[in-house]
Amino acid sequence: MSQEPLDTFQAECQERLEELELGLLALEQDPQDMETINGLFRAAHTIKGTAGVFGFERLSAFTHEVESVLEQVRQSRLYPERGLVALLLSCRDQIQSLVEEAVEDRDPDPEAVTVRSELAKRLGDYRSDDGPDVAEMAEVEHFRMPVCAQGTVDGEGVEYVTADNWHISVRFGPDLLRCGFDPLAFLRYMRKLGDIVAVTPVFDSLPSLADMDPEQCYLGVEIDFASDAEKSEIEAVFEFIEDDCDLHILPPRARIATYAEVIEALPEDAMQLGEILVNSGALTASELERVLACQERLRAGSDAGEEASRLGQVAVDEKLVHPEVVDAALNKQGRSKARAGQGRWVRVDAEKLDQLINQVGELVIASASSSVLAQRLGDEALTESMSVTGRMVEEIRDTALKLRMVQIGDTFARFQRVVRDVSSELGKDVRLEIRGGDTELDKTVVEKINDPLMHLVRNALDHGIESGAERAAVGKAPEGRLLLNAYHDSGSIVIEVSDDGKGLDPEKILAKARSRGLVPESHIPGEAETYRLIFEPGFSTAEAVTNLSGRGVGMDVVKKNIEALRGSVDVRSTPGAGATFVIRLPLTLAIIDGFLVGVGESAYVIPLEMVQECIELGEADAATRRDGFVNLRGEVLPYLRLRDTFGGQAPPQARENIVVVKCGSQSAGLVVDRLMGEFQTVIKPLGKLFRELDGVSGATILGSGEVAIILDVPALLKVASTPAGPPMQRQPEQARVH
Amino acid sequence: MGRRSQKQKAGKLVLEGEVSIYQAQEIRERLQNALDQFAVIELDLSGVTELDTAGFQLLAQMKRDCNKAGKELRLTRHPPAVLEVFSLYGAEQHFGDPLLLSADDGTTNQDREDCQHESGTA
Repeated sequence: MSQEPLDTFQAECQERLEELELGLLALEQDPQDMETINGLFRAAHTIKGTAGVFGFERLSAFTHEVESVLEQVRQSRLYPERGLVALLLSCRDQIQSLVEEAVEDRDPDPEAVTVRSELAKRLGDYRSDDGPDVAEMAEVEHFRMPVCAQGTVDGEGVEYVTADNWHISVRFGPDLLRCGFDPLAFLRYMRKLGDIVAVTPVFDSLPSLADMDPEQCYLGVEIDFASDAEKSEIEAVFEFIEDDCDLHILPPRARIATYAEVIEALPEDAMQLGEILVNSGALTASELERVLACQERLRAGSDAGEEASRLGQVAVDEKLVHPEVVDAALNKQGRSKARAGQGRWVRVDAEKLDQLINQVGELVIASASSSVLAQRLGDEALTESMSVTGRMVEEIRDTALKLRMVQIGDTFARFQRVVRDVSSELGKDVRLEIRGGDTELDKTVVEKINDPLMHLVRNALDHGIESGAERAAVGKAPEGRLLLNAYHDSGSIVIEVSDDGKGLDPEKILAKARSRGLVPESHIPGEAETYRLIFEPGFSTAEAVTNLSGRGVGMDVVKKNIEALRGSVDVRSTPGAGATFVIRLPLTLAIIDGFLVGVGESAYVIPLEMVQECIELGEADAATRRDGFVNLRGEVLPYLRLRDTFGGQAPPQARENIVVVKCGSQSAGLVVDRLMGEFQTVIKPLGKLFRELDGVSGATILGSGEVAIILDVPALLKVASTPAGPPMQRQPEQARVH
Repeated sequence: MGRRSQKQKAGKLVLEGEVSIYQAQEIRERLQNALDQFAVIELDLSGVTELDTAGFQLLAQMKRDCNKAGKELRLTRHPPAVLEVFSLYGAEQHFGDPLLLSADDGTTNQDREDCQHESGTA
């Protein structure tokens, strides 16, 4: 099977699986919520149906078991108590792995097979054994509606056929096979939904062997189908292909007029179709006569004595048809596949999105170039025009970047399951609170932040929050609280993982750090500094190495992963009350608003959101310069001379400027020669050679064609704040493009 | 098998392995060649492991082309995979061949007949 339908299938199942998980967790809290229950049933139902259509037997069969139980819950014949919900959660996990196996076309390992049959058995135990399904019987009654035994004419003179079966007419679309679908899968699946009483292939569109395209589909089928399934279920079988196929579904006891319309709509000869219908039992011979007569009238355009020939009108009058079918029939052509409550979505290939961002980036650079040239020319009209263009480019850039933004709420929601499972495993009672779920961040960042977050959450559960007994002993509420919070702050996104557990123990941390030689005996670090020690490699004060964390490989890896995203992590803690880990991340990894500065012959870009102010460093402050501090309106400001940091060669100018930058709570000054103004820029990565270099996070191409280095401000701040930092010797000139 | 005369050139085609969209072009050519060369064509399906709609389409059209050209097409030794597809499409009548059910060991009645024939116990 070609890849695209499989990708769609997988994405579709993934969404349903997430719905199942969230729904089951919600059900645990509120077992009476009908909306949740209905949602669960629908999700399982969709997975089962879709799997069947694709021919994934194992998946379809297993999901069917789950769906049956959910159906009973839906009918209030089964109460979703904790045990059942836990069982359903385990089943959901198995459905997930079944989906993966199906998509990757591999067999399950024997373990999984055992687990699944065990789960299926337990599901079977839950299903009520009252005998025949009361609901099923009700449905059967519904379809066997009393119609006068002999006659096929109702009180209003509308004629019906006597056949009890569905008649399904399909002319498969020509590209069906090329797209990776095979009608055989649908036919096999239908056999599960009911009895294929008769099937007649239609070969009329097939050209001769010499003329045909062997990869094109020319087939049609006329099917007579006995089933108690609802029309929506039967239609769902063909959902994926119905846009490309000619599909007519006639319910049992359809009207004569309906058959007439179908015959009129199909390409083949009326007599030939009529013969097929009689042979398959859809019509009796006399019914056929009436159908053909009706069809003739349709063809002739007259509607004498017959209701309107629009199929929609017919469907409305069709007595056995549910209201949903009417909507479906009427909206058939333009029907959007939007799921309820989610608005309209378009699936976009992530690669295409990245390509767009790249192109927009190039556009930004090109536009900047043009602006520079326009300015040099000095033509006012042109400069004005370039300014307008520049603004529009900015807007496009912002819109493009927004395309990549996703809400962090989805990531947070997944942790509900983690918290539930882990806390139950540890025998602790923990509630997860989520705030700021609608905070948006770049999709790549979201993907990469998941692992560090996972580790912090597990850490909080394992080491932070105490057991029920311990909490009671110190007078805390028995239920522990874990908070995931996200918000924007001065151009960054901040994610906090807070717990109300016992917090970090500064003495223990210091002792451990000293024993590892990380802190010399003479140095007594402050509280913040002590807490930050936990991010050093190999550090762990956990006494028992549990399954989850405490192996000593945790926090430094978390820090490294976050820094790889140009972010930072810090921790606040109050012994006995809890701890909060604070992650800061840039909003986007692709384009930034920068502030351009010049040092010697080089240009540097400082992220604009971190720039607080710029001040002149005059001769008067010469005395304080040597100490690396300057007096800023009474406050002490450490500073770095970029010239020294990056090893410039030209002698210092008399007049220098300080750019005051702030990152989080830290401020520092960067001393530069020239201030060159705001500048939007596309970040070009510098490549492996420069990755280990502190203080530099990328480069960009200026309008003039020169390369400017983008400064990694948090890293520079660290250098500025710590007493003895070796100056970096890198020569940025070497990066210039000639 | 009928009288063999100069006009009644008979040929046998053996299809093996997958008969699906991936082999469709190639199989179409083979069928076309057989159609051009012979007046009576036997298609031995015993080696077919898989049949999909594309393959089924080819067989169906082969039958139609043979009908149109006044030639005879016989499908023989249908394996279960083929029988299932024919059944799903309701195509037994279209081809009109006797469908011999195979015993559990995979041999068909035809196989057993052949064996008997060989050992002279017909």
